[in-house]
Amino acid sequence: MSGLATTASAVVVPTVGSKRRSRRSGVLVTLSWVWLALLVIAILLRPLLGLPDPNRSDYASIMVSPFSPGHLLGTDEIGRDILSRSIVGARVSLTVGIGAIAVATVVGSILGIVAGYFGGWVNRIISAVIDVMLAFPALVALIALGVFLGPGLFTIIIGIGIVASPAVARVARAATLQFANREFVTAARGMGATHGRILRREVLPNVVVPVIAYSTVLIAVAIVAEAGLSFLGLGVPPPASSWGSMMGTGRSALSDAPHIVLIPAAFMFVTLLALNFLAEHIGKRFDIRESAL
Amino acid sequence: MSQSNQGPLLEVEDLHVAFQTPAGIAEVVNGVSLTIGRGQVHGLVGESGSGKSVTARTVMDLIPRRTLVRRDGSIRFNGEELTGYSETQMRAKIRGRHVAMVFQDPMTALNPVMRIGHQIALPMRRHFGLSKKEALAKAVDLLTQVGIPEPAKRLRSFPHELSGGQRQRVMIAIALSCDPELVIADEPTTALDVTVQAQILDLFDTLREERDLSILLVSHDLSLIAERCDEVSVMYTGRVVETGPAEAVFEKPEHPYTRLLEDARPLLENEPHTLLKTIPGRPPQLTMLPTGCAFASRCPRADEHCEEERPLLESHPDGRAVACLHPHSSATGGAPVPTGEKAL
Repeated sequence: MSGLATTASAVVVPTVGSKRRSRRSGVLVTLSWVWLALLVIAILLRPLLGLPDPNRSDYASIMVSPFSPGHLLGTDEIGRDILSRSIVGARVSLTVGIGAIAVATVVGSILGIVAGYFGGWVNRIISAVIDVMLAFPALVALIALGVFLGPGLFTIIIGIGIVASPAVARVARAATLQFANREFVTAARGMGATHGRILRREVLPNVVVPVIAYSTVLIAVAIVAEAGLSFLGLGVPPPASSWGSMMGTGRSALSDAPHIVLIPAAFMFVTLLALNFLAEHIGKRFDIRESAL
Repeated sequence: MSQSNQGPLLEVEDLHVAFQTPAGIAEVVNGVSLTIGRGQVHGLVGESGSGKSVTARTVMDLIPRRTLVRRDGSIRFNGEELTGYSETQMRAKIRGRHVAMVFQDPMTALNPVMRIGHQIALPMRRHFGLSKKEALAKAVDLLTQVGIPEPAKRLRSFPHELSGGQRQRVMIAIALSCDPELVIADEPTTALDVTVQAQILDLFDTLREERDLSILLVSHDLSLIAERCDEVSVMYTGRVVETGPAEAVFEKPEHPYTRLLEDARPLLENEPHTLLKTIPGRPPQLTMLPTGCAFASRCPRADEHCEEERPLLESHPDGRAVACLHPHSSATGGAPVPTGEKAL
């Protein structure tokens, strides 16, 4: 938001206001979308790109540096193509990021909205559960879950989703408290609406905006969490690649071939940056709508 | 609920409402009685905190339960006792269906993220089981009736795309959607500017004639109440101090409070820069109401009697009732000072 002028025009015609966002953040937002789009396209079209198999070792070229013939971004310590593996890793990271946060958003929103709307003992019980979950060490919970469900993508998505849900629940609860006492909720009650309808039609659409803005930030957090788990060897089982496991296995060769670690790290860095810009962008749009009320 | 079409539409009798507050139990409504006849506009006036809004909302059982410590008395609608109704019954039979409410601030009383067409349609879908399409078609009619231009186009607007007056018209359209018999309007024009106020009130007048609607008009604006109401009740600290035909009450107030309120109004005839008259002092805390008349400490006609004995509403021959030991028509004023002078 560049200042008052933009806010004021947004108040009158919000659609115009969102187009007049300052140019610099506009460029960053566009670049962020472009990067994420490129990643998704690369993931979907990888078989057509003519890249080497991500799990096949090319013993003729082990630990070659980037821009070598046949291996654009070089190979790792057993000769696997890093570009190819990074794209597969992107698939894991994005799947976990989006999947886990989808789980967290659904679970957290339901808990938070119910707690905020009904209040009283419902709120006290749910808030206590949230506090316990927040206090519980996340890594221990994830390792334990991995033992019960067995390692794999699904376990990671559910695990990170559950660990992240109390944070979403707090945001949803706060937003619900803010809206549940607004006059339009009383007005809906006054026209004979049931609690279910009020929750679905009056509260939820208003709470969704701040929750989505927050969830976008959490996607980045979930990607880091997945990388951390994979780095520790608790993520997707080998030989499947993920940015975290690539960094984990490449660590031993850091002094000889730093690109093995740095390339997946760079992929992750740019992706997280893009997600953060987008989250900020969505958050700002939410502010405009608030001030327009 | 179409039985018993004789008798008043709404009778509230000896209503008490109290809330738990950090400072103690606040007795917000203390034995309010109101009667609203069919097709009548009944005004409820009083200063902030006099219990008018709480009275209005209690009729629809819209008071948050969490801090409520007392709610009793009788509320009869069409002869049927509402205080025994469950939440589900209130929802299905009363709210929006027979009694609808218009709120003070149309900016906050409409859902900002829902198109107004749906907001108007929802009560009809709920109460009449209409399909989305049927309800939206009826919504167009309603918007026409409340005077919104291009109603079909407006259905797709969001509240922020409308002006304040238009939003209040939408609120009224929602209130009227299920053809209620009683509309409770809680300060319906306070958030609007004066010209729009007049338009909205004219709209109420028209609708009332067309639909034989009864209206409970809650306001702190005396001029508005005097102009638009058939009957009026003046409230002070949760009690009705004077009630009766609007003309009689405002032309010749009996209760000193009503008189002082009237004197406190700014008038166009006044010389420029004359100070507005005020009522000295402030209302007593609702957590510790005095045993006697709650207005005694501010009343120019009060004597020691007033501090001890709480006056009850007494009927006068002209159809009004006054709760005062020394009403203006009686010669027994503690100090027969003309009102208003003490204010200066």
